[in-house]
Amino acid sequence: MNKVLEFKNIAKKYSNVEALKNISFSIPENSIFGILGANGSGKSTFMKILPGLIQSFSGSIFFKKQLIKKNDVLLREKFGYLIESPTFYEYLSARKNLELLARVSYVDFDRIDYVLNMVELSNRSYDKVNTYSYGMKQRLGIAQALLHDPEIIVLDEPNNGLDPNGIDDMIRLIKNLKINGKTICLSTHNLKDVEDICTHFTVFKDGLNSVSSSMDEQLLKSRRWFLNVDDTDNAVLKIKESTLFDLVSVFNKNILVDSKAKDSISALKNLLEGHDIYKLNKDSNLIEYFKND
Amino acid sequence: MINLFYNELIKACFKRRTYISFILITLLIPVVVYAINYGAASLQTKIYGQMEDSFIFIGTIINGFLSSYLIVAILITHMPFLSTIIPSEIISGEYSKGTFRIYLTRAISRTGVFFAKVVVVYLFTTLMMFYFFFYSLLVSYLILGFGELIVFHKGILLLSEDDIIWRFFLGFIFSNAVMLTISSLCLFFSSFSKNSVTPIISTISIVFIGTAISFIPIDIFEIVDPFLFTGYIDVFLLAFYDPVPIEVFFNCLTVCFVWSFLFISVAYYNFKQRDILE
Repeated sequence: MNKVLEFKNIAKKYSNVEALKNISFSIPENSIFGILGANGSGKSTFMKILPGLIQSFSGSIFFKKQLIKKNDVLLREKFGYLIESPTFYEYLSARKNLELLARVSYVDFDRIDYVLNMVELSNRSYDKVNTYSYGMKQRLGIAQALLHDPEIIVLDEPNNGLDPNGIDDMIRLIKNLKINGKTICLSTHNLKDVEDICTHFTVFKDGLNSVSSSMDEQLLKSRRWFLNVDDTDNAVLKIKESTLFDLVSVFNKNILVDSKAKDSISALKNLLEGHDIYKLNKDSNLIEYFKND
Repeated sequence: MINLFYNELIKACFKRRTYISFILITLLIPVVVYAINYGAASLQTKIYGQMEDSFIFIGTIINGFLSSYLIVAILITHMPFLSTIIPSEIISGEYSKGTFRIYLTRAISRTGVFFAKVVVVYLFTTLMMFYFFFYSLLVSYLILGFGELIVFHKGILLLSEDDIIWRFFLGFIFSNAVMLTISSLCLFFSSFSKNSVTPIISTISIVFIGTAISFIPIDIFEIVDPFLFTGYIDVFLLAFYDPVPIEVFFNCLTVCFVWSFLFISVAYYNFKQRDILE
């Protein structure tokens, strides 16, 4: 896969605090790239650097091997952003808000109807934004990010504040964007977001990115398995007695184990012979990157 | 740039606070004019003072020109407050509400956004001052009619009816220059602030201090005063002198331009460099 974006040695300091120390990674074209990190890990600071909201930082950013200079406004046309919580001119309607943005992006106003329709806000487009729920504002945030049909869409915590239906809609929307050839970069502190939708990821911790990988590589590397079987207590007992597996956790009849076996699937099936296995999946084990050293 | 300006105009026009000053002026001025009309006899007696013992006055000096002159002379000192309404919020409001996080991520330059905001602020201030001056004249004319204007300059100066409108216009131009400087000062504070109250308080505090310097008769203040824009807030009165003191108007324009340039330059530099973290 071609690299569409490349970050080299990005660092940012706020007075005495080093928010970002030395971030380097690249984002493949047409990927859904997750930036994973706990609160305070530097994700939000990083997400503000690309759109130029943060001006003073060190390091280099390349777009298709071309160095992005600070204040390079033309290159911003290739990007669509939703940074942190969606913020609009609340005293204006959703349509009026998008008109402001369309006007400066030289986008035809017909496109407003298209994006509003895409996020299912057409019927409320003439209402003032201050009458919108958080989820609706988040959807409007996505609409403005897509308004000028960018190549890369940068979403900061896109599922924040959304109800389960909203999260499902957001996931579907992001997957559709990938199908339509877009590259999506999203930040999240939620492991499940990354596991569900991301094709690639990096993990931020204390201002550094500890790992960058594709999800496929991560699954291959991981030796953690997720099980759901009948007679959970008995299965847990067998796992505890086994030298090939370490029990990680049991929650709501779901068992998580770390495998030392070369062929984990066969070894697990042998160990649990006689049990009905309802689910047996590889776990990405992204949690290991969050553990304290 | 036109699109950025148009956007800023829409943002300002759709805000209710934009109209506060116009509504206040619209409501206040007829009340004052009616009050002048109602108390005309007493006002006339006060203006004539002891002269009535020596001269016989035929007709009345209470007319629309005198009414407008008094209204502008009295209310001009309060206009700095009204001229902070738009600039106080135009940058700080976008910081505090986080709207820059959406707006400044578009393919637009901060320079363009900043100067579009400056143009809107100047446009609003000029419109407000124009409305203040000429609405006063209109309302005063409709209620009191026009006539000769009596002002105090080296004694009593009577200005003929056809020698007055241009003086109001001259007064408007130079008073507006001072108000534009005050708006620039407020915009300067707005570029540093995260709320819209701090720029208003800071600007008005500076205007108060500057005005105090103008009125306190201390040598050092008298030396400094000609270089402060606050010393020209009542420059309007000078338009009714005979002859008009051109050199003071020139000084006023120079001082206002230098201060405005300074405020706008620092505000621009700060806006361009500032990280949008909110």
